[in-house]
Amino acid sequence: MELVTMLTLTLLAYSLALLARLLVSRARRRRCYLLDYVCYKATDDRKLPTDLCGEIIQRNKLLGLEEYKFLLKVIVNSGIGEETYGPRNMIEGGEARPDRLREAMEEMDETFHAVLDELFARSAAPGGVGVRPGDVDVLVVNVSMFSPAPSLSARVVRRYGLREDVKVYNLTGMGCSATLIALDLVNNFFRTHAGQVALVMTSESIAPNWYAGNRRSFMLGNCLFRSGGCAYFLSNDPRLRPHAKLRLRHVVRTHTGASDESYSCALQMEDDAGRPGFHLGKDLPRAAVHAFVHNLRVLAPRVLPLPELLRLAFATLSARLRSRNKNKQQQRGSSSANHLTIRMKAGVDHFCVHTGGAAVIDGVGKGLQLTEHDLEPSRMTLHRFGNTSASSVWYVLGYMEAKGRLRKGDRVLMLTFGAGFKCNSCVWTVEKPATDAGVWKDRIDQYPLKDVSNPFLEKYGFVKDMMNL
Amino acid sequence: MALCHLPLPRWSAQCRLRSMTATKGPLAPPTCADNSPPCPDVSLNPPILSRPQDHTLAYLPSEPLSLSLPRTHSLHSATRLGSTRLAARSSMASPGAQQLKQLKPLYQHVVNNFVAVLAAPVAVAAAITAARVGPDELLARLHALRAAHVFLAVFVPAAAATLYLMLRPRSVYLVDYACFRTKPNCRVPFSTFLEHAKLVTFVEGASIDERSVRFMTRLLERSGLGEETCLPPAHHYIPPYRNMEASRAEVELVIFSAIDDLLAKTGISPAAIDILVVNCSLFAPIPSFTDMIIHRYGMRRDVRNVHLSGMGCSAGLISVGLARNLLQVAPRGAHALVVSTETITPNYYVGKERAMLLPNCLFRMGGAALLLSTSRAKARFRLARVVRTLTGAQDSAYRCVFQEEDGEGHRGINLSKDLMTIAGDALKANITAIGPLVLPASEQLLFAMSFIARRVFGGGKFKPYLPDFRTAFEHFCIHAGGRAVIDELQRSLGLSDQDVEASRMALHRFGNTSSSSVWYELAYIEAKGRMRRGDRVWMIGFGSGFKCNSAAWECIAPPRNAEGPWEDSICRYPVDIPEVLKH
Repeated sequence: MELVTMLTLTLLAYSLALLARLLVSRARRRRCYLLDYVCYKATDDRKLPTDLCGEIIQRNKLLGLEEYKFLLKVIVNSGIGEETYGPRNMIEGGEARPDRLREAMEEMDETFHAVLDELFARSAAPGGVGVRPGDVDVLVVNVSMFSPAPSLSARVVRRYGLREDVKVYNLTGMGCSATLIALDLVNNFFRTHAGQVALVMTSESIAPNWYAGNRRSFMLGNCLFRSGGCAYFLSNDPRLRPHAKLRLRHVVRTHTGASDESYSCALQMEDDAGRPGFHLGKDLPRAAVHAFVHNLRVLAPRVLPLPELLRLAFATLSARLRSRNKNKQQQRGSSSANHLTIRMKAGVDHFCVHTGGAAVIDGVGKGLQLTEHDLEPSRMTLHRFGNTSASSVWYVLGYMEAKGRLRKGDRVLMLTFGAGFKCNSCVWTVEKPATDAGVWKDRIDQYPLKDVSNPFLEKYGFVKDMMNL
Repeated sequence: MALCHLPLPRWSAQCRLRSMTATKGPLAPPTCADNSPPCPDVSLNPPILSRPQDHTLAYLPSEPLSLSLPRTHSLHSATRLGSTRLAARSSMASPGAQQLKQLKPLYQHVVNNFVAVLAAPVAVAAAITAARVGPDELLARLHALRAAHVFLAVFVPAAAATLYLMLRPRSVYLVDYACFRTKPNCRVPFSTFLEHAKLVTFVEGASIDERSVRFMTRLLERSGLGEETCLPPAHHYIPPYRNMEASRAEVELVIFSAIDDLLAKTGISPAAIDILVVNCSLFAPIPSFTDMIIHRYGMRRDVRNVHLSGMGCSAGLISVGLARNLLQVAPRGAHALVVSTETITPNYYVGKERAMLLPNCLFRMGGAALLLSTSRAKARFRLARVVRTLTGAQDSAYRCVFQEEDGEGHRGINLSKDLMTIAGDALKANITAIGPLVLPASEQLLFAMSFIARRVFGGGKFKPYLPDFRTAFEHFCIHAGGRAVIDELQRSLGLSDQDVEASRMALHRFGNTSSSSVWYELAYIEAKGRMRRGDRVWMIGFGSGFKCNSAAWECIAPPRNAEGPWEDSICRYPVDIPEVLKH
């Protein structure tokens, strides 16, 4: 009899232990930590001060007074400062032939090498994360507008000698919100694989995509997009947890490509003369709002506390009732339904908004009832680095760290918009407040600026007057 | 167990070429088993599949192949050698070894069913003991047990097992797939292709010349491509359109027709798709292909979409692997749409660099759409394994397939001369990884023994054992990258002509369709009616980077009808593909 007791007890203990292990590993796999990240700062000779911009614009012989006026308006309102970085071929005057593979490759190499070298060096330094190239299990590279073969990811594998069985994903054409798509991909990968380290490289290729024509909707891209890039380590390995800076809580992806308006508001195409470029349509703000609303619908219930949710539900309900009553009274009279606003501040402490332009930041700030203090990191990033496409939110995060704003337990929201039309968002919690200023090291003391306007109006304001003559 | 010392075999000296009687060999099922309509070609011209011997063509690398082919044999006498690998080997060996070979099936049965072999005597012994004790005694012993013990012994393990089954990563199934059916108006016979190329030489800005055209002629004659391959409409113009509009038109033609086909086949509505993965190497517009698909089919807002690019010809399997990862964390029963294609339009090369002219001759239009799901209902295949290897850390491997601009600024893809060696290395790494996962115990044991023997007695005495992958798979879909790739794979893995028939025929009918080629091959096997329930399929893809990826599938249900891209041409296949096709 005792033998039987022993046996059953052993069996019981064993199966319980097995179950416990299973559940623990499952829970562990669900975690996704940001270990470290490095943003790219180009060399000073790639800066684009006002004079140089004017020179570059004048090189294009297709442009007339009308176009100058348009460009002036765009640049003045863009919120971009004098210290953004452009690709070399554009500065040196090679933009007339933008389809050079080599130039594009050089631009990407410069970014990739600088960022990844620093990331691995920091990781290997004492007190660093300790991830060597051989430890990387997943590599995701996202560069929207340039896809050579072999891919840029294979280039990373070659340079840093990653393992043979590394899982490589090279994403392209996913627009400015690609970094969160890469993040989502890694997060999902982690759920089925335990103890992994992922390296994500996010950048944008500007050099081969410079538009050398005179169509307005194509020139917008030239004004806004600037060089930048970011690389970061993610992991779900519990041993690396002490190094974790942030922990991922939610990723929400929205894609409104089903509607024509959203799909065609940002398109890569050729103009009438066959010059390739990137068309940004007039519908873009509306498409962005549309996607943003749908994203919030999923995101808000996940991050907002209960009281705020109840308030929201009540407000929605009463608004509906009121509009119905109104309709009864005056049969579709005024459609000025009172604007519903979400107080996102109740659930999130910091906001990294994609620096797509001053209008994007203003719009998000209005929609989420944010203060100037909340929007300051995004505005300053736009001023300092321009629209660096997918990597922009990481510069914003860098600003917050440099300013010492992040405290343990704080929640950080990243919000990105991209062609397609996509709106992606994610929420992090701070695990370990960072201490170094990273990419903002040399300029952080000068920020925040009171006045983010650029001197274009002073220097080139005469264009406007000439129109009146 | 590691298969790490696997050499890319040179062990099979003369036995690689199969005779005309190959179809009568024990391992090669006769063609009459096919359900396809009888085809006069089969009986008249059985496939004499041979490898290129022309050394003037550095780009169809034949060096490692010619090593294995004794100079004394003319092609014809060589083809009359042994009919299968085993037979060929045994003909060289002593009678004792021959007897050993006959024992091999028995050995395989015993080792592969080791548990059954062990369990049977134990069960018999238990039954005898029970019979001797008698039913009353047994009942009495059962009653003596406490209920709590019985509960613990039965329910707890059962509960644990159920939970384990619920929590483990879910299996992923292939519901169905559809390949783009090429249209006759896009067809490029050799003569058309060459005439077009000749005319392009007069186009302003193109530096392609008469010599390049002659070179392409020689390439095409030896490429293994047939007269029915297709190029996108934009390439039929002089000069060929390579702009974005034409490229988008090709994309829309290929992927939308494939997806339409798939949706019609499976009867699923686009709104039910949760995950969308697209791969296309050389063309990545904004908005991406995924956005185009979402826009066209009006998919849901929360569809997870990923567009992979620059991942080469093996990207189809990368997409499948990615879709599996995403499916395993999605709610049960979610659907993933995977689209693999390559856009040829922007990549017509108009320079005269020889290594870059090769893709013009090989790459052809094609695309495939697949629907994956985590629910087994209606599924046709189960995805067993996806194994990826990337040897990009070596410079030669990284540069082996390389997009660049030649001296005159014409963009093209440079295929290196050592492609085959590098592909061989990548394959070695890949089968080292997949071998232990898929091979039956008998092969693994033999390999382990040969490995130990080589370690103990030194490498010179024993040849390393090359596992026979035909024990693990019934069908092989080798990426139809070109004739040399298929030859090399056949040689390395010791496959029969029938095993690689699908690849050769897909190359002949559709050309190198990049990442979708493996799906055309699967369609060929199914159109021939060779797929049976429980059959295992191995897909191997090679691509720039350098990557070698493979996927193992298990058939759950053979196709109900053999419709597909082969619909109109299957009756003409297999065809004889001569070494040099003169016109």
